[in-house]
Amino acid sequence: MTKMVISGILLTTLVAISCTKPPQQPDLNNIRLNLPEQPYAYNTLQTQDGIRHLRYEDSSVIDNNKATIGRVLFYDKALSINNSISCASCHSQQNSFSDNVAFSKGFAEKLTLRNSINIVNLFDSRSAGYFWDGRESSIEDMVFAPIANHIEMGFSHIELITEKVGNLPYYKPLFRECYGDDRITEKRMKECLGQFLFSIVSYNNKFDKSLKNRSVLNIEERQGLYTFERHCMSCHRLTDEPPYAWQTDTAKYANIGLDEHDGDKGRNGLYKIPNLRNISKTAPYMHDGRFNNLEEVITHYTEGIKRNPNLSEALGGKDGPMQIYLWGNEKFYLIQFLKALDDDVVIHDPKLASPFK
Amino acid sequence: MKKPSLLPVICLLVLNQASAAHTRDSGFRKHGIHVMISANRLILAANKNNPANFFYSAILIEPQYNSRRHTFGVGIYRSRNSTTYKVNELPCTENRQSLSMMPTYSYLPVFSRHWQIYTGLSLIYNYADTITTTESDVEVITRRSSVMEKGFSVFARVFYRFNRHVSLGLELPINLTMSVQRIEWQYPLTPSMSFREKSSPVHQGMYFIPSQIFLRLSL
Repeated sequence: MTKMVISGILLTTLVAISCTKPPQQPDLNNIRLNLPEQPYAYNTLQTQDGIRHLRYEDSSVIDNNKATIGRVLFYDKALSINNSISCASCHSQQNSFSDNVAFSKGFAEKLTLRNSINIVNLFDSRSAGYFWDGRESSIEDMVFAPIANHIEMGFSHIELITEKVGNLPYYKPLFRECYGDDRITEKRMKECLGQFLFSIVSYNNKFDKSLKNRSVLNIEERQGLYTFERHCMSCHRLTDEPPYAWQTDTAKYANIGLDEHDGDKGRNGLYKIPNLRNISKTAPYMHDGRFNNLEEVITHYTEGIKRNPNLSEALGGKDGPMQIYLWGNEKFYLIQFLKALDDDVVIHDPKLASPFK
Repeated sequence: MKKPSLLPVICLLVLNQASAAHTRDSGFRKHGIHVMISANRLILAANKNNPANFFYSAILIEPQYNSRRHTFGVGIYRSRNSTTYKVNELPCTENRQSLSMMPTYSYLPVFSRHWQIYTGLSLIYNYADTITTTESDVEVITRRSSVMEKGFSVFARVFYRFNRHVSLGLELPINLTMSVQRIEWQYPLTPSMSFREKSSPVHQGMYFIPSQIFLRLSL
């Protein structure tokens, strides 16, 4: 009998399963946004020429309330499937709304396929489309693409993003203030994100100031500007003159470009020419982040361009490649000039910073 | 999995000795209570990611009762573990637990003073539950995966008796099982995205090399 009791106790002890309590859901009402009572002025920028009015894709003036919501959405990690990635994770303000790695980590720590592109001054490059391959022609179509992307933010059921955002209590007052009611729709979200993106502008670097007074640039930067004007400016516009051109520069790395999305096999390897504002903050460079510094980029254009049927005419076209020849210290001067495109205003502007504490 | 090349030789040796020693009958108990414990873990590195194998990597304890040559037991595997890791700085926790019960009948056809050979049949009921949580400032996302496996096992066991109370043995099982996996995702902020799905039944047969050593204690 004793043996049976001992065996029974042993069996019961072994079978008993203790339950693990799941973690409690966080209290969303504790989340506070760092927003001013009156919205920041996203529609204007103080430049040396005075107040510059900032415009949306359709050339209407940017709405401060919509841009405010867009700012919150831009920095909100809840827009990713597991709440780990926001738009700002790959487009950080300190890197001039780019990233400092060749490929960024997505929601599951998988790497993106292309380098995070600088999204400053989208208004100036809007006619070339969005993304490296320009596959989206509308900012409001573009803003949801990374959210739905299976590597980036992973929200594959993008139609349900409004349900999630609607359950975050800090959005409703913002939408009510902006639209008169607190309905959160895809259209409104896209519009707000787009308005914020178009408010990320840089028109206060030394080059901008030199347009009125060339002496703002030092002698090395002026030498670099001269080199830039001769060799680079035909593709890399520095002012707001549209349109940006398309460029391919190598056969070695050209893999998928425009043709991936428009079915035009003749355009393989063509990529959007990136904005050079704050270029020193956006390393590594090119669509695949293959160059770590500006010197490597310039060396590529002086020595590294390979033959490619889609090579830009500016680089020799089908008969190319045509290397850029730089004499003496021209490479050094060119780098000095490129650094003169830095604009600390956009890097430190509080209205572009994260509203989440 | 490699077939155990030494097994037939061992079996022949044991059978030879067992038949010779049958008349001595010193290894036979009319009634007895035993506890069989796996003395090492069966780790099948090649199949370690197979959810079914998870059951067999735990410690087995099998209380047994024998009446003459017939032995009845209930094998129990029980395992729990918790893993914590980070995804983009978000803490993720994976709690995994499993319980297996295997009612067992075995028959002792041959034995000797030191050697015993059993053949038998087990019913298999395995259940494994894995809950993965991803915690963030706004919600805790939960993924729960449950695997229920049922089937039966035909086995042969060889024990070496050191004395009346202690034996060491090996088991050669062949398992035929049917398993069903259920997966459930819970997104508290997006209830429409939460879902449950159940896999189609998966039938499989497995046999294991006798690499697990059992310690049997007899009261």
